[in-house]
Amino acid sequence: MSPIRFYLSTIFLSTVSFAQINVKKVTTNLSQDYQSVAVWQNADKEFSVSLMAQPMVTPKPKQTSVANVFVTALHDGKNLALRLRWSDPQINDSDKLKSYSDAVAVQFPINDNLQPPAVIMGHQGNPVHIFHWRYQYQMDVKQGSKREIQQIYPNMTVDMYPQDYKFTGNIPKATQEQKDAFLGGTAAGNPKSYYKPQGIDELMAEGFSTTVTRPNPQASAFGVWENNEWKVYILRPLKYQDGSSLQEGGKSHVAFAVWQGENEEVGGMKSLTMAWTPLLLMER
Amino acid sequence: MAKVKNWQIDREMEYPYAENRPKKQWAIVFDLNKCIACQTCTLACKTTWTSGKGQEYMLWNNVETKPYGSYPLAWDVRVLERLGHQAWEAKKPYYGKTIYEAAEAHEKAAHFSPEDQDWMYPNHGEDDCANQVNGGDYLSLKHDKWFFYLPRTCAHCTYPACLAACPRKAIYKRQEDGVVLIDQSRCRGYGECVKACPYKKSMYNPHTRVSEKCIGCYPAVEQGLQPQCVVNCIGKIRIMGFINPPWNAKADNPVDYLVHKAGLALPYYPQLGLEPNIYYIPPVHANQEYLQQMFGPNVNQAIDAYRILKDDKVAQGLLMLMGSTDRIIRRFEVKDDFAFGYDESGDELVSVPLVEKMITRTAFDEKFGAVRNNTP
Ligand code: SF4
Ligand code: SF4
Ligand code: SF4
Repeated sequence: MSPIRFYLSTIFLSTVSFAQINVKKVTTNLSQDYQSVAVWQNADKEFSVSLMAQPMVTPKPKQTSVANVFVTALHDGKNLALRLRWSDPQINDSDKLKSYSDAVAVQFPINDNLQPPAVIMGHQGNPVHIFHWRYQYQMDVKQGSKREIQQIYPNMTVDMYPQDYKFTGNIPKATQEQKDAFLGGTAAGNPKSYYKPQGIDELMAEGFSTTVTRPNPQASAFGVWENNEWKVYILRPLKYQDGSSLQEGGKSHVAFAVWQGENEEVGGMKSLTMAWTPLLLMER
Repeated sequence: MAKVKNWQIDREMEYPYAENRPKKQWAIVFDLNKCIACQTCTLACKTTWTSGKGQEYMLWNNVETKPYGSYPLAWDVRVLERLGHQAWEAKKPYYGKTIYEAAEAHEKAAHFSPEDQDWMYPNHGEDDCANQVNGGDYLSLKHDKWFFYLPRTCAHCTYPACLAACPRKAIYKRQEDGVVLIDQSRCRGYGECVKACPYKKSMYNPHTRVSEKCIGCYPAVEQGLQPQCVVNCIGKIRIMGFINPPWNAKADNPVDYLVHKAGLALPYYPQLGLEPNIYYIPPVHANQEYLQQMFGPNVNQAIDAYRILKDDKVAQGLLMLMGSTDRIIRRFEVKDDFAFGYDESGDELVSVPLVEKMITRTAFDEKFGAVRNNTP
């Protein structure tokens, strides 16, 4: 049996662990505050989720970087707020080659039922909805734009960029679109090349290597690194028209992945859950 | 892992995907005896494709001085070091390990991971000579003090490591011409290709946050034109065409002739196992051991073939066709001391004499009543 088949079968047989994350309901408006200590005093105790080094797709990490993520959540009938905490001795941002951002992802099934899709990012015909926070995005948000190349390499030598001339003479000034034509990723509309005002990506996937970024993310996120650990807060609407929707009083499932920047983790290099964790949206 | 046929090492080898040769395979042949490191090729590529933000130090085409130059820093030494000592006997298949066979469980290909700073000195080692030149030294053949220039583009490999390592499957090899491309809309900038390509021809753009590489000038190739770095080559050391595997080689195909028929041109570092599709006519006066490491144990035969070029009118004619037209020569022939290049439909593109006519001009031009001088 190929390793992929082996993992798929174990995942289908034992997708769900029995304990669950109890999501208490608050009367405050989470969209106005989902980060303060006061808000989180109302939450149930943290649930410990075990992670392991992504084992299926090469290139893969040699060892597990983050063995546990501690999760708690709240909802207010409109939004779900998650607080994810994991230990990380070093804060990592990403700008140049070989710099890797700390990051976390939370994944929900779209067609939720007692048998959610494969925990490893869904499978064909049974997609998942992923919320992906990166410290890199947060640093962008802090300054209101993606890092400019002059910020990354202040001492770099450059004569001029196409269509970006100081003195244009009689030539009409180039539009942004004309300038962007010289930037591969930007011209191709690659979401990676664009600024994320929400500090988070929302993705859809039907298995590894199939993620597609959703336009106009509705979620938002913010992380705080203190005392050698990350606390990342993610706020998402309960209802999506074409994404994962959560019912008050209902059960859903959730899975996690963490990237440790200092261990050069990105993409398939990550620690992740190999089982769904049930999530109950309590009515009180 | 699948078993695939790699003719450059003359055996089957392991590769993550099944053998799937394109209908045509893009290839460039470089005559290293003629390259002058003028970097016109580098600039031709740069001004055409990589003048944007995040590409400031990105050179899809580069020319480095061997043995000491390299871009990125020590790429060749570092990948050979990672592969470890491997043996290859002349006229035998290569039984050492390729980077796929030497890979550890967590990686697709044995590799080293470069840093951005490694790309910041494209000219380092330029014109540095191997061995010290002392007062009173003079050159003899073969040169005991030597260096040569190595122009490089992406090799649009038959078994690309960049493609093998991309977990997102954002890299693909085109069926129509074998060009290997990174899908600029799908790449998520993980940089696995940058790590895995042993030739380090996949590069990271920190502005767009995705990886990029030489595109083989496919928009030109689609129109029957040779790439920018080829047509702008001052030394006329390059010819681009399509190579067939040896079992389908055609004697009137320029690349097939140079690689398979005349055995003049060789792939570089074939032992890595990628079946790279840039081929080099080795520099005949450089150090043999070094050339063997770079081109394999049969490099001497290529050098011998080059030395007897004067007896091979066909090869001579073909070398004259290098840099003679901006169109892709699909078929060539040499007759009556002329070499002819033809396009896909058999139309003649160009004809060149094997030996340029010698014209002697007098010091005084009677017609214009002017003295000729050779002041530029
Ligand atoms: S343009 Fe030609 S001769 Fe000049 S460096 Fe490039 S390959 Fe060499
Ligand atoms: S040379 Fe490198 S980048 Fe180009 S196809 Fe081969 S492995 Fe990929
Ligand atoms: S083939 Fe085109 S894209 Fe590639 S190095 Fe040459 S000029 Fe640049």
